[in-house]
Amino acid sequence: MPIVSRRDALLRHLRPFARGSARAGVARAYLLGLVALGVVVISLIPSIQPLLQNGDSAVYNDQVDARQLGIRTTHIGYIALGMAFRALLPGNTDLIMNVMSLVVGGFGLFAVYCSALKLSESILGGVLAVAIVAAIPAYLRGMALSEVDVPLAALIAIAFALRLHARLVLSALVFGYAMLVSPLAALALPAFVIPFSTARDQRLRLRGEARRILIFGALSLLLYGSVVLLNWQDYVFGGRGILHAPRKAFDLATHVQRSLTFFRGECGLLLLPLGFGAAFALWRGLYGLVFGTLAVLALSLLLGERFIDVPVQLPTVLLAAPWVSLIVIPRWPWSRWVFGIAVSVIVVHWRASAMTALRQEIARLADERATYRAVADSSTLPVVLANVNGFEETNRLERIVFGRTHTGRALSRNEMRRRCARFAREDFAIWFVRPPLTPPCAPLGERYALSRRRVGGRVLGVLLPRSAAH
Amino acid sequence: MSGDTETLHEMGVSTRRMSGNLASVYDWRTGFSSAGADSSSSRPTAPTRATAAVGHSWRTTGDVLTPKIRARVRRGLSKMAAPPSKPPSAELESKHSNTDSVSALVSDLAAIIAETDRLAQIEDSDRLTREAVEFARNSLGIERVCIYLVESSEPQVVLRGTWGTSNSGLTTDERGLAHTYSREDFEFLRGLHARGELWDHCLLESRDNDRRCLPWTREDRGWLATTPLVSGREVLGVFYNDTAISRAALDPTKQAKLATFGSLLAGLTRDRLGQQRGAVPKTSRFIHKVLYAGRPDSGPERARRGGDWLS
Repeated sequence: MPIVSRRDALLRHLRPFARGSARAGVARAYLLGLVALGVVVISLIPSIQPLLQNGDSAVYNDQVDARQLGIRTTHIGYIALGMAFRALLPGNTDLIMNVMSLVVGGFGLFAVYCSALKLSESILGGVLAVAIVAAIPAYLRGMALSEVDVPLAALIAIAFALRLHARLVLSALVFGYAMLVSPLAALALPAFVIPFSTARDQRLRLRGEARRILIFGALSLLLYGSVVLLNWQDYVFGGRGILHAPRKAFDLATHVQRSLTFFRGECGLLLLPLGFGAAFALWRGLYGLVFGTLAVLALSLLLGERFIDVPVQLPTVLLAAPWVSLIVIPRWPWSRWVFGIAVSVIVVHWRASAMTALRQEIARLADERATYRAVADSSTLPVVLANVNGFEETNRLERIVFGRTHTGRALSRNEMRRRCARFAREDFAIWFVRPPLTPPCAPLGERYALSRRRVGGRVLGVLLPRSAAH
Repeated sequence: MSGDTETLHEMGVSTRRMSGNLASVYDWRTGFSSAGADSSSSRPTAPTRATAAVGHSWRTTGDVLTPKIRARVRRGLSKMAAPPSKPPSAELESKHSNTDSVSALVSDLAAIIAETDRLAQIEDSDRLTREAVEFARNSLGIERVCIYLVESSEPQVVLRGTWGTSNSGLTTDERGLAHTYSREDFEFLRGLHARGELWDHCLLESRDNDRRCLPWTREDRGWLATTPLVSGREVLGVFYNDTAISRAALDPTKQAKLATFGSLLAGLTRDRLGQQRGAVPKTSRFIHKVLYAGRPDSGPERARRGGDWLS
């Protein structure tokens, strides 16, 4: 069975993998990829705990719990994926969602490996490409702590790998699903159009390629559009709808700055092998591949960077990672050692710091969870969390303490003042998340007394009714 | 009044200065002049600069006033310092305006009752909510209004849109919109009427700080009023309204009318929901007949609550 499809115009000039189409060789190559993937996944397993990355994770997990698909439909694919995992696996939803991210992120890594294998016919090249992605802090973090970003990037990488392997229908469907995970997937569209329409030896068959692109677009749109049509109002006008999603005003300088910050902070030294990979890709005549990914980068910079707190360039890195495999040139056996060792050193160094940062974050979140679980368990009175800051912390703490968000019991100081009358009428245990440890209004001061309690290794201030305090 | 002035004149107190001062220290809130108050007066007075000045001039004259004279002086000064009575025409106008506002209120309330009565005849829930929104906008003068009904209250409170008002003041279909509502706020809405309040009103923060925004509100938000549709201590939905088009301030009269309408509408909605819950679809009836050979008389809701339908 030839690995390089006859229909795959871009890669026709590359030699078929395994020289002679040996099935065993092909199977071994993919098996090795799975082993490499397994190593990455196993290294992350200790980090998989029932933790929440941010406030968005909390509200998405809530939706998965409630099996509510009709809200925040711009991420309906992500919620549906979570619900599928929730139905299959027993246990805490927060944990299951993190497992889901790990699994989907793992498939994304495998897709990068497959793409690299397809481009370079080199197992080492494929492993290096995977190692590059597995060293990116944002990807590692997203694999251990569920959010939309990693499933989105992984699905785009899977769709791209399938497209490279000439699985047009599957690729289109996966890309359509990626659009359902987040509409930001649309920014990756150039990578699916440019490389396959600009291949040098395909100019004579441009019409055929145009037809494939059309099929790809139609099938993606069919899956994506049908789901969107069913929920069009929420999708367009909802709180997370494409018209109302939180975003900044367009400012090119800020967008460039944000993208630069991402590449500097998340890729850093990894940009070196990626740059070399791009050069080698161009040297091998894979212009469409490079320009397609660069177009994704530009589009993400122009349109994607408006959305706050979203690593929009993450899919770009996953699309560019297979380039790295091209620096292993079969004609130069020494390149295997030189480039292999050089890239490995960079990857090991970068991944070590990324893993350290991830472990620290996991430890911090685990400590926070333990503390606030203890708060929830230690109080016989209904708990209120005071002096909570912002959307992220509010939803995360609500999910930890109350098991759901939107309880209205995790409040900023201003919100506490606004609802003072309510809390002054009944008995609550009002825990201060941070100073000042003073009642936010006079009626609370009259009814409650401040005491300090040690919970989960921390000392927190708590207002208890004077009757209960004694 | 002339007699009192003369008495003061005899006492050597400059009437002109006194009246000016006294007029200025009349307490318009209590209707009592503090100028004539002596140290034995039990009514508390605000220590204004004018009071102090008068008190000083009083003391300089010596304590020569007998209680009788003092009482007379106080009566007279009160008259002098009393706010000018309205001319008969102004009083008439005031009476007319009061009558007008009362009659307007009565006609509005009558319109609300008539509309509710008319809405009760509408069987289609979609049409009912749509016409309710249009009535609130066109007849009650609520600028931008929409109705969200409670879709589920467990595990989260989810409000589902019905019909609303666009930025250009036209009716919009919002049935595809839904959002979660804070549990604590929901409980707050439930007890709103018991606390003697009719609506909840909040100033909205900028979007940068507040991502828990309602999908319905505009980017340039000002305030948002939430009027619950409560019936039998159960919140069935809410009216959201704002003035994002005109940017006008909240009008309590309009809000009160909306709350009245909402209350009547809630009763209507509750009856409708009760009917819907009680109704068993034909398919279910058939399946039940085949499986259990019984007669479903209370619907799936009762079964879910542990009723005997499926037992």
